[in-house]
Amino acid sequence: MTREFLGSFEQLVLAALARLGDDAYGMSVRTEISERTEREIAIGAVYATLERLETKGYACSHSGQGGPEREGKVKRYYEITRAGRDALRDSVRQLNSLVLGLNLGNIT
Amino acid sequence: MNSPRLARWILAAFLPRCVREAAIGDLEEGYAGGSRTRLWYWRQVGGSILPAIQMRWKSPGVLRIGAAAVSSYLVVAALVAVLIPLAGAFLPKWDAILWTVRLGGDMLAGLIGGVVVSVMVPMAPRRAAGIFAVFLGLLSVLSAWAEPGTMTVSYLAFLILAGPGCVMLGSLICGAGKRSGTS
Repeated sequence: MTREFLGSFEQLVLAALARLGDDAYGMSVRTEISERTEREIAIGAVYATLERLETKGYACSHSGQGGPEREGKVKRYYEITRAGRDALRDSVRQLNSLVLGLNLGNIT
Repeated sequence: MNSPRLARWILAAFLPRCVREAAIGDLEEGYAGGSRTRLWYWRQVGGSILPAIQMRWKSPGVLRIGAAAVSSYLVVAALVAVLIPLAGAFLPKWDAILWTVRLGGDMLAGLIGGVVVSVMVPMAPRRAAGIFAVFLGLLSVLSAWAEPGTMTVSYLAFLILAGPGCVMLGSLICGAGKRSGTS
């Protein structure tokens, strides 16, 4: 099956979904990426990417109840799909094959 | 904690309905009050506008609204073409053309107004469209009252109803873009 290429932010969002598991929703995804990349991420950018990934079939979502800390507003939980995991794995493999053997300094 | 109302309103106006409540709830969750968080909130809103526009632009709802706007324009144009000779039977020729073109304009303005009002007041789109429709209807009555004796009562009634009717149609078309929150 031919897969669409993942953009770099799409890769980050998919990886965050895989890491967060059942607790993946807009704000937790934003915080996860923000802390690990040390970049300020706008919530709108996260949702735009999540919507795109959902359209591609790489993520799926369901609504959950919101607590008082969010004034009762619904939470939208996201989950990475099997196709999403495959796309992320392929994407990382392609990147690895390109950078393998390059002298990029210490990246750990 | 009371988050900045204006910022929340701006975000609500730009975000598509399918993620609006969840995204605003997320920001409420992160908002703890104080000037630093207030600034953070505004930065979040500022950074979200462009992605929100892109999201809206690519959503099926926008495509549906675009298709509805084009087809509505064609319907109005066809209606104007039919109404001019029809109105000519009751009115002097130039008055018939004038009023029929005006009717088409009213309908198109109503349709666009209905969509715009519904998008700009996301919390109560139908109520906002209703108020706008009444306003447009009153405007039609006033303008017709200012130029008395140029048309029949039935034609005037059609004129008064067409614009507000199109406002509600625009609002309904806008609502058709709503997507279910579940997958």
